[in-house]
Parts: sequence; structure tokens; C-alpha cells
Amino acid sequence: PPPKADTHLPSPIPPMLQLLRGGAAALACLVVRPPIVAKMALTQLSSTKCFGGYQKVYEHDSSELKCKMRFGIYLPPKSESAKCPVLYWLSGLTCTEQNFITKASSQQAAAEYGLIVVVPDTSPRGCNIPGEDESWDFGTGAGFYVNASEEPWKTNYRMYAYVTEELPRLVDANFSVISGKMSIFGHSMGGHGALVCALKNPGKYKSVSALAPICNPVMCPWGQKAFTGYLGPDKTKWETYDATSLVGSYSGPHLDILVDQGKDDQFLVAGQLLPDNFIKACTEKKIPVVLRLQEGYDHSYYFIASFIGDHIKHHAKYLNA
Amino acid sequence: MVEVQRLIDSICSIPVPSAPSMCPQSPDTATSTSVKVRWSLSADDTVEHYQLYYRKLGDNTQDEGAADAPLRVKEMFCTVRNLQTGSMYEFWVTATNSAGTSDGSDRAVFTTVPAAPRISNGTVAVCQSAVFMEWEAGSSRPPQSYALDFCQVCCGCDWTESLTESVTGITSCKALIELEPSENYIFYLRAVNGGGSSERSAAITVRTTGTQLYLMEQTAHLALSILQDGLTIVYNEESQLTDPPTIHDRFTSSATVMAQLVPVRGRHYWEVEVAEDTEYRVGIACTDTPRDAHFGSNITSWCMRHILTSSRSKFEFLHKGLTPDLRITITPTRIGILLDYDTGKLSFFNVDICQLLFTFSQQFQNLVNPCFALESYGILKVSHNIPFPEFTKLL
Repeated sequence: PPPKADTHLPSPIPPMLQLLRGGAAALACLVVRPPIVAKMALTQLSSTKCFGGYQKVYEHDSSELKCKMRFGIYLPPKSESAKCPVLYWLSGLTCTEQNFITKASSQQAAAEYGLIVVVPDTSPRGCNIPGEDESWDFGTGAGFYVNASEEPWKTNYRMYAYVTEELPRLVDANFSVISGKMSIFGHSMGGHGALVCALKNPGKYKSVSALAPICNPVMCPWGQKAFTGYLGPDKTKWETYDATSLVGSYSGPHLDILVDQGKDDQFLVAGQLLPDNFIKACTEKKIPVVLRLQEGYDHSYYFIASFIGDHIKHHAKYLNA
Repeated sequence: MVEVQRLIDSICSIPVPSAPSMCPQSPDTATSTSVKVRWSLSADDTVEHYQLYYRKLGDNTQDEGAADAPLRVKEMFCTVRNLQTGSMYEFWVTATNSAGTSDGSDRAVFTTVPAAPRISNGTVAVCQSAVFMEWEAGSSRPPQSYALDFCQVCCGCDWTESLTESVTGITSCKALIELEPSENYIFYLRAVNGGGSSERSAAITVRTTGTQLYLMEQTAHLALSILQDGLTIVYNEESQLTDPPTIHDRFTSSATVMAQLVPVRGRHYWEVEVAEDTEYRVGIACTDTPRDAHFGSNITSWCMRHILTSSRSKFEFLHKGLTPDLRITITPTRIGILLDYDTGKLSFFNVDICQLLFTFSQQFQNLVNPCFALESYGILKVSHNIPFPEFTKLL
């Protein structure tokens, strides 16, 4: 049988050693295992003890993105003896799976509330697509959590499908999670991603929150650049990945959205974030939002670290209910 | 012949009785309108009847009544009725026979017990661990002390006298009593004086499942009225009556009223119902917060404020006059307020959608009181006795 959902996957063992150990049983396993193992193959790259649990990083071959992808996963102490709910974090432009797990100081609250926190990368990497590394706000590190429809991006740039389908399936199969109890949050481009994933999938996420999200990408320079490249000129396609537009047509279970926005955020001033548009749409559509404008805070991970505890507590309220 | 008559007369004559002695008041013989009076005699006196005199004693000698016409009594005791409650009377007695009437006895004071005190649920505060109640002192001569009898009530069992607890010797008109959480109790109040204990007051039922508070009418700004239910606050035209300057408790510059919680730390929760266009402030303040300041503008008060601007609803969370900058998309019509002394938090919720609006983090050194204020015409309806909702549990 394939390895049971477990927090400690062994590294691949040389066939010789297996034969010495097991005999007939090992031979049978060797014959049966490879196809299933290859599909779900996760390679642990690192594991570090943190607040009684483990901050790990894994790598796998993604079928949606057609490349190797990494993600961070924090396993709280509780996960050793019980299944836990999962909280997905989506990072912003230029980030990898490393920024959040090293800078946001989320592990303490995750440990306290018994939540598994999964942190994917922000785009496919090393796909050799012409132009993928030209800009910091488009291509590598800037997947915008959409399924691209335009060449040369449409084969690999399917971050929406990766985040909402492939990654949760992978996590459910390999870790000690409570099926169906997941929530999502993120920062900046990841805030946009979290809001879009929640609004497009009513009932899938128990709660959603965002820090300095790009609320209305069709109306800001970042969004216009990315959507033109990934989705082409058709603005109706753009609106299907725009939180402010999606609010207008949302119908689903009640949401409870927490948003933090630094008042000294240079990108707020530059008109990239547009939270007022989102608030206006939610007020009209009666979607519960509390937006906190935080005096003196900027767009950085210092801002994220300052309020991550409140966000994790917000999700714990719904995930642990 | 006259001499023989005189001799016969002298053999048959009896002396005038000696003065009787009053016995002191026995316990449990008085009611609120009667006392049982007894006296004794020297052994050999022959008495035909007694005359019992009494008069009411007052606080000033001017109040003291003249003795009523004496009661003519055959026995050596008498129950004197139709007296005033909680009052002291002076009794003395004379003995009469055919030879004449004795001197008056010494004077003894008898006291009627007080009337049963009046207490209503309108001045009872409850939390999970205690009850606090206030009542009015008796109108005439105030009793020496009060006593509270109470008992835990379980569903389906008969309450028996033997399970009652009593707290006695309460000298002020208030009491704070520790109780078990999530239980039902019945309380009775009695007044006690030198003559004994009054009858029990009407029963007060107490349930320690949630917070019960009461509005302190004496703190209410003159523009506010509190309706009969004791929980609905209405903003009216400012009253034309001028306030006697001796009342220091009343809010003067903003239409605010303060409520009483059980004065213990721990967790307290209550709700306020508002209309979407009501402009209000709700929250807490220290008991001695200045009455001439706006609620939330100083260091001794914390509140949630809702006002209407030309374009939208505006929400503020005020302390020391400062507020964070928030946008709330759904205007609450039922606000939950959680005060947690242990974790030092005051939280506000939109109850209908279980949404946390804002939390003040503050270690409350002193005890605080809920406050409610209206900024313009409108109504606030306070709800209490609500078990802690699920959405308050995580905090």
C-alpha cells in the first residue's frame, strides 16, 4: 500500500536495501508502488522545528503548471495526534515560498490555534518562456493566480487551477488534514488571489482575509498589464478574476472578510490597490467586510507580521468551529 | 352597732395592689402591627383588672404621642394591635382592685417589626459568578439591618426550607453575593430591627447563565427617557425641568446613561438593538467618569460610535478622543458587547452575522460600567441575560 498520510515521509530508499530488509513483501511493494508514488511524489527539502511544530518545504512535479513547484507547509504540534484544518497563504509579486515562512512570524499563532499553513510559490518557474523574466510584475513571480488563455503563457501559467485544485488534493492526500476545512488569505497580489478564489468558489473556503490586496485589478496598472498578457484584450475575461467585479455577482454562503491596509503604503498612494472600490461594491451587495486602515504601516512584511496574528485568529474562529 | 360594722369591714378589707413589673419583649412575639406585652405581680396582690397604657416613641420628642386611653385587661398579658410598622412604643400598666389602683409599673419599650422591604428585578445585576442587588430603605424609621434568604432551585425538585442560605447583618441597602455559574436561585429580602424580622419580600429569581444589568436612572441625561421595561432608552426633547444642583451623578453635556453590572471582574456580555439610522455611542466607562464630558473623549471611557454623514455610515471606536480608521460594509442593527477583565479586552460584534467589528485591548484596573448614549432622535434597546454566544468564545 502507498505510504499512509503522514508528516514524516522518508527519502527514497535504494532498491537493494529494500530487498535486504523485506524479502517477498518488499518485492511486492516495489512492483505495486511506483505508479502511485510518482503521481503523488513529494520531496521534502527542509524541515525545521518551530513553536513545537515543523516548518517544512516540499517540491513536486505539478501537472497543472508542467514544472517542478515548491511549497511551504507548517505543521502545528496538534497535527501529530489529530487532523487539522488548512489555511492557504498566497504571496505577492516577486515572492517565492520562502518570504512568508521566514518573515511573517505566522508559526506562533498557527501553533496556538492548531492550523496547518500552506504557502505555494507565486508562479511556475524555469519554463523557458520568452520574456518570463523581463518584468518583476509580470511572468516569473507574478502569476496573478489566473488560468492564462493567451500564448505563450497558457500551457504553464495556470496558478488558479493549481491553488484551488491540484495543491489541495496533494495536501489532503499527504498530510493529516480535516477534509473540507480550509480557508485562504494573502498579501497584495496574493490578497487579490485569495479574494478571487473565495468569491469564485462559494462554500469552498470557510473564511477569507487579505493584507493590502489588489482589490480591483482591471482598474490598476498592475492588473491591466498582467491581464492583457495572460488573458488577452477581452475585458469580460478580466472581470472573472477581479474581486470587486466578482462581488457584484456573488451568491453563496455568508462571508466574513477581514482586510488590513497600511496607510503609508506607497502602492495605495499609486492607485494599485483600490480598497475603496471593493468596499463600495461590498456595501452595495451587503457582503460583510471590516477594512482596517493602519496608521503608519507600509506594504512590507513588517506590516504583514504586525497583523498576521489577527488574521490567523479570524480564520481559526471558522476553521475550529 | 356601727362599731361591729366597722370591725367586720376591717377584717374584709384588702390593700391596694402594688405596681406590677413589665416583662421585656420576647423574641418572635411582635408582628409589623402588633406586639405581645406581659407583666408580673408581687405574689399576694388581689387584682380585679389591669390598665395598659402605651404611647408611640418618635425620633424627636415632638413626635411622641400622648398615651391613648388605656386598655382594660383581665389577664396578665395583652396583644396590642393596629400599631405602626417598625415603630417603638412605651408601655406601662397599673393594677386595680376594690381598694384602688396601683402606681404605674416601670416603662418598657416594645418594637413592631418592619414592613417587608420592597425590592424589584429592576435593581438586580447578575453575572456567572455573583449577584448584586440594591433596594430602597424603609420610609419610616429605617431598620437596623437586612437579611437575604436564598436557595438554589433545581428543576423538578421541591424547595425545602432547610436548604436555604441566609446572609444577615446587612447594614447598607445593597449586597453582593457569590453564586455558582449556570444555576437558578430564588432570593428573599427581610428587614430586621429590635423587635425581630419582617415578613419576606416578593421573590427575586436569579439565573447565573449570563449577564444581567440595570440602567441607573439617576445618571441619565435629562434628554433621555427610560421606558417601563427598564431597558429601552429614548432621546426626547430636552426636559424643561431644571435639575437640582445636588445630583452629581447625571450626565450633562451628552445624552448618556450609565448601567450597573455586578461589580466583579470576569466576563460580561450584553447587546443593544438599534435602527440603521440611529446615531449612538455604546461602550463602557469608569464609574467616576466625568459627567460633563462626551463619552469616549477621555481616558476613562471606551465606545463604538455610529453617525451618518451625507454619503455613508461612519463608525468610530473612541478612547481618549481617538479612533482607528475603519470601513464596515454592513451597518449592524444588533450590537454585541463583550467585556473581559481577564484578558483585558472590550469587543464589539455585529450579532446578526457573527462578525467581530473591533476590539480595544486594555487592562482595566478599575471596575467599569456599561454606558449608552444617543446623539440625535432615536431609540436604543438593551438586551441582557444572554448566554455567551459562540462567536465570543475564541477571544
